[in-house]
Amino acid sequence: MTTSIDCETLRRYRDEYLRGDVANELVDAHLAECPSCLEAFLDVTLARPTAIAPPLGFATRVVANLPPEPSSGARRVILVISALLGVAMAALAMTLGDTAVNLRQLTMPEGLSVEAAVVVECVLLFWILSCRRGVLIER
Amino acid sequence: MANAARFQEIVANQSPVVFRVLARLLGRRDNLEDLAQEVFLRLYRAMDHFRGESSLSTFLYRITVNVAHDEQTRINQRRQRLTSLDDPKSVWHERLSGPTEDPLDAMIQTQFRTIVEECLGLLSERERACLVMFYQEGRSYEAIRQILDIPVGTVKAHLHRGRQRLRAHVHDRLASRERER
Repeated sequence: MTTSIDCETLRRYRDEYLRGDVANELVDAHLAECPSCLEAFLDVTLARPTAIAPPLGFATRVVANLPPEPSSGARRVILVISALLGVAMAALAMTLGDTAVNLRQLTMPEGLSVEAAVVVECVLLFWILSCRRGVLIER
Repeated sequence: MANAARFQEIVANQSPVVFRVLARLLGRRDNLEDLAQEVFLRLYRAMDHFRGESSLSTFLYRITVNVAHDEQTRINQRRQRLTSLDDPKSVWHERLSGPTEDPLDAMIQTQFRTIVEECLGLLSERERACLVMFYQEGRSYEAIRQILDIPVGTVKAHLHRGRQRLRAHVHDRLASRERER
């Protein structure tokens, strides 16, 4: 045991040491041999936030680099187009009649009527076209 | 989120948290701005889904941990691609290390805090994230569970094991320095 500094003295100078003001070999030696002081120093060091500040103007740069949001006008156009597409699809399905039914029977689950399928398609189309952001939690 | 001014306020308030968490998770203080920007870009994209300050804070931590994880993965992949010293195809002088360390850097290296931060880098990503969230950020077990999307029991296990391993690494580092003296 070569420790020549006691726990009480060590902890009195803890803050200075952790700031780097005291580069004391005795402290290192004590910490290497005293588990309770090592625990105490670890607690303080882990709890102390890393000293780093965001660079000046960071928030401004972040906002400047954000993707542009669609304007309310553009959003309205998207909604109108998606609604028109939905109506056109519904009309097409009604007009084609049996052909559409035959085609749909190949792709839709049994028991789902053509009208219901058209409604589902319209809702899906509307949702896809009008969604600006579809990802809840990104990695 | 329509209000850019409001988002800028969020960035200004939360960026110190993002920078310090990234710094500790990645064990470096330089080149963090791009990563912090990525964090806020992801937050912005998902902003409409969040109401209330607490869920925003938890979500921000979660994105930060994910961005740090992605960066760590990139670093690991780059490291794997680096030419090994045994590779006969590489040119020998390209394998030599650069100039000697700055004396100031060398002095900083002697600090206990630096040893702890270096040793944090020896833990698994999960252990490191749990320790940083619990000790530095003062998050509860439940909050860490939400941030890392793992059970509370696993959070406790990572904390316990991470703490043990960190203590062992720091002790070894101090002891080896003592032997060198």
